[in-house]
Amino acid sequence: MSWTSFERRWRDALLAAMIPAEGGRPGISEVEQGAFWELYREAAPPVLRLGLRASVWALTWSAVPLAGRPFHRLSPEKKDRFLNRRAASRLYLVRQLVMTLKLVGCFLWLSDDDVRARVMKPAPNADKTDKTDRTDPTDRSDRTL
Amino acid sequence: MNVTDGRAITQPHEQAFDVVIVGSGPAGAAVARQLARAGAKVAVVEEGPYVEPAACPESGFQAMAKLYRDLGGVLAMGNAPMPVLQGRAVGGSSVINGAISWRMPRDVHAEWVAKDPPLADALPWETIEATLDDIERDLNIAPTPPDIAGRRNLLMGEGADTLGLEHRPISRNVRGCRGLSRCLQGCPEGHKLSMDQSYLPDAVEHGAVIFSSTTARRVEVEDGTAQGIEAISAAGAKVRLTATRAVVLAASAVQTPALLIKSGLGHGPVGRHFQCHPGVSMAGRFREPAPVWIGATQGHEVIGLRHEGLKFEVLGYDVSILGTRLKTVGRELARDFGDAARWVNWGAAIRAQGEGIVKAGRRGASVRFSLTPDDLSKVRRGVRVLGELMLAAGAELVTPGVYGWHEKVTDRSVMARFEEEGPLDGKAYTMAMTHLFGTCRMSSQPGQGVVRPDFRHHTVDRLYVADSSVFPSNLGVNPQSTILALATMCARRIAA
Repeated sequence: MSWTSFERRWRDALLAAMIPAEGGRPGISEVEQGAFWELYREAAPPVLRLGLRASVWALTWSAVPLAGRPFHRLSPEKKDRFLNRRAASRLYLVRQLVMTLKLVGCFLWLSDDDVRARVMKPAPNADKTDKTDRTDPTDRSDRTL
Repeated sequence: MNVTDGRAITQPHEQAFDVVIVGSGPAGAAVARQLARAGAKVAVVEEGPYVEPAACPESGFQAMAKLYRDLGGVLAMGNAPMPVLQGRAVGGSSVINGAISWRMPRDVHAEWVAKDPPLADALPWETIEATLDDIERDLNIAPTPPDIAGRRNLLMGEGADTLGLEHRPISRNVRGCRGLSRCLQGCPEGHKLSMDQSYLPDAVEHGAVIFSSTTARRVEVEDGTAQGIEAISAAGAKVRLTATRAVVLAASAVQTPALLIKSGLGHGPVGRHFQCHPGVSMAGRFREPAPVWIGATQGHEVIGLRHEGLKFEVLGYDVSILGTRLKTVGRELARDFGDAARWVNWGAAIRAQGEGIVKAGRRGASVRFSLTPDDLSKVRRGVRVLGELMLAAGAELVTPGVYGWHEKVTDRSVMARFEEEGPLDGKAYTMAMTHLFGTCRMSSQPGQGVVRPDFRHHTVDRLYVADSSVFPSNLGVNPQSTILALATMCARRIAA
């Protein structure tokens, strides 16, 4: 079953928020999508097609009680916050809906040659250590596995 | 390689052979090569297309669309639902695997014999060893050299040294590999000696006929004897291939039992005792670049905990798959892609004790599989060791990707606590399933197995099963070489 025009709008809003433009790299909404969706229609098994459609509907409309509006009408900041909250949901099914969207988003975004060239470039060595979540500074590296 | 393309078979087709083989992966290819060399008139039927190396795409999505069953989207349902990854092309999963080649572990053989002593005579260890020697020579199997390994492979060795764990470069079936990291998309240079680049061309040279894009629908049985198969071409034409000596099923531990069930041969343990190696992976960000797109796809492994049912491997795949392994979404995910060259992914393969079932439905085969509590303990230990390995190798942070636990960890002592603190709910983990076994078990007892120790079906004459569905248990290591060895032995029995 093909996407209706309103489903396509919801889907595109969710995917655009999944990988927005950042650091000089285009976001999903800026890449050509026609060839990707054509191949997706040919190759995706029913379970994935159903999963993506369920993700689009559930994430678009669960934003109403949780964020006050359907997803596609949220501000970029609220979209980002909403996706992060849903990705960390205590409900397995909700986490899987986000994962499905992310899987399709990564496939779509990295089907674009320009995006691939920008992502797959050598990175310089990091000059400082990320201190995120260093919850236990005690070094017990001498214990056995 | 000359292949009869099912997309061009538009009219009903009937042809007679000595042996008809269903499936062109390692098992089917080994049987085809052995029997064609022995002078038999052999047909191989493969559901997927034949894809020339130069036509293997770099994009993960395009490669999965072309070479994987259902875009890698077949889900095994159970207490930890996970995708079942299988190739669907001439060459089967050998086209899309990491070229990892392990000899069959002797302790696994001993387990099989202890459970069913007649297997000692049917599968003598010395014969397996000698056959593996031949396979290693044929497929140029050798440890990954450091000059093409790439940094992310070498890092695993450094981490393992720090933790005092045994490790080594992975032995792979490649020739002239330049470390393009594209094994899982199909080697674009034909340097991986997958079956389409090795055994199948050899079989064709000796007269075998390969039908690609042609799906076997039924084994034809008359008076308790297999007569051939009925198949359908991708163009929709009926294809009937008769066999005067043997029909050999080698379509994987999912498709082989499904075909038996669809053929009305689903009695006994067909489809039961499904086993696998569930895998869990972890992403870590290093201070130095170690791109997933540079170096051998899978070039290093930690084997020091194999006795516990755990094996650790460097993972390499398209950057789109790396993206799905990063644990972020939205802006943070977009930022993480800016550092893609510093993100590394390693995995743990679990020798799970859980058993599942394969069923055949109208829409194809389905798999149900659940991890046992003991398996989940192994998963927890695997996650702990993965995190510690990465941090010991110099990762500045790791993302365990386990629901309900730290999103990012920078300290080994935190990872060490995971074995006690980590959840025992399978749904908290993101896992995938490879290496499938056991659904047409070999056994000397008719009620316990589908085939006899000499690979013959217990009740249907001239019907053989040659793939990993005959294995009495999983192996705990990558099965390709063992599948090749046992299938070769199956072919020798047919030829005898």
